[in-house]
Amino acid sequence: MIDDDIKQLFPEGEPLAAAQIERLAAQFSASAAPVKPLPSNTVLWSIALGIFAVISLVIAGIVKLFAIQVLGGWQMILYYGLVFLLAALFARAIVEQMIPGSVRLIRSSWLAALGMAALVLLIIVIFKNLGTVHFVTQGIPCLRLGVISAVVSGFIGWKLFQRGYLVSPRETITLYGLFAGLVGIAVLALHCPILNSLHVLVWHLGAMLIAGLMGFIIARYAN
Amino acid sequence: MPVDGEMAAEELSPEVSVEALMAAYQQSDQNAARALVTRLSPPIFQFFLAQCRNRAEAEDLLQDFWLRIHKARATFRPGEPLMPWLYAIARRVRVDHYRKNRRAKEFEIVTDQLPEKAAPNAPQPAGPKIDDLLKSLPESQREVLILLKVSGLSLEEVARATGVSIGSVKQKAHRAYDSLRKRLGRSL
Repeated sequence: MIDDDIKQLFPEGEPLAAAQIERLAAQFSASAAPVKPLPSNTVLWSIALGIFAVISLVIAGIVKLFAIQVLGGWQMILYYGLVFLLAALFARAIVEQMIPGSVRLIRSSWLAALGMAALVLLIIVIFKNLGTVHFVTQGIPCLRLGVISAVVSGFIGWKLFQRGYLVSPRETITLYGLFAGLVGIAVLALHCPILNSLHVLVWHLGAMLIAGLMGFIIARYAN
Repeated sequence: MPVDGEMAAEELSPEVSVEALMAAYQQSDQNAARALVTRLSPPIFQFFLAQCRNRAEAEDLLQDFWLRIHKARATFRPGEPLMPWLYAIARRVRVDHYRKNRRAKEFEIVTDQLPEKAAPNAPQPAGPKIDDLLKSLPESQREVLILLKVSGLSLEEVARATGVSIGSVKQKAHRAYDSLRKRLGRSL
């Protein structure tokens, strides 16, 4: 039978010596300070989402909420709704990755790809392409604000993030960068009154991509 | 005599679940920590040994594993199953070790080719084909096979430990079986 053949592939070696187990046990039990287990995934998820919402609103409040005055009702519902939904999904995925052995809802790479695709599609559908007049001069301040917002939220949320144990640091820190980038998108969605699809695609989404890239680079070197 | 709040010897019998021992260890119970190491070291060692097939390396990995468990102990939540948590960390230890070795090899200057010396008490494979058979499997399939067949985890536990869906675990196991069946059929 194939099962027996497979078992033969992994013959049990000489068992671990009792003395070695004893040595490990002595080391392991020597300095165990009590620890408080992390709160449930729901609590961690709520905290992450709370941080996202508060930072987005505070920064957008500081730079003024101009976008709210020019966005239509449906545009607001769809755009803000999608950004918040993605923030919720990203936060959940990050929390799942902070706890080893958690049940994963969706693969991070899939989530990142689908999230970006959904944003691109929605931006193309709800905003008009108004050309490239003043494209760069209007775009750079948006990109700068988006990236600064992402960096600020990344730093603030890092303390919470550090409490977990990352079993896939590269994947998780890149996702964390994209999540911080979503703060940048949310701030710009509340602040920027330019409803040109090309502007939003390049400069607003660009902030999220840069944040994700920063996460990837940090993960690579931290690892 | 156990210290206040620590598990007494009779409480550390094999009937006490590893989850209960882990929860006690989080509260700095030294007896529970000792029982945990005693009970879990052998299967985790077998997991490492099946992966790297080198006894000395597996012992190093085991030592590193317990250090990481100590650091990550706050991330285990009482009431949750321990095995997926444990094996998720064990996988991380192995991957880090593999990467470290690979990096070291990249910078290594080859001088003389020395014959490989077998580690004392290394598992004796049934023949030279065994290593080839295992190497022929993609890393992820080999790992799933080891977790299912050597560590004896359930499909759900493997899914949680490896961070994929149960469907994906089934698919990997199925493909690994198919591949081995073909190769075993040909070679035996």
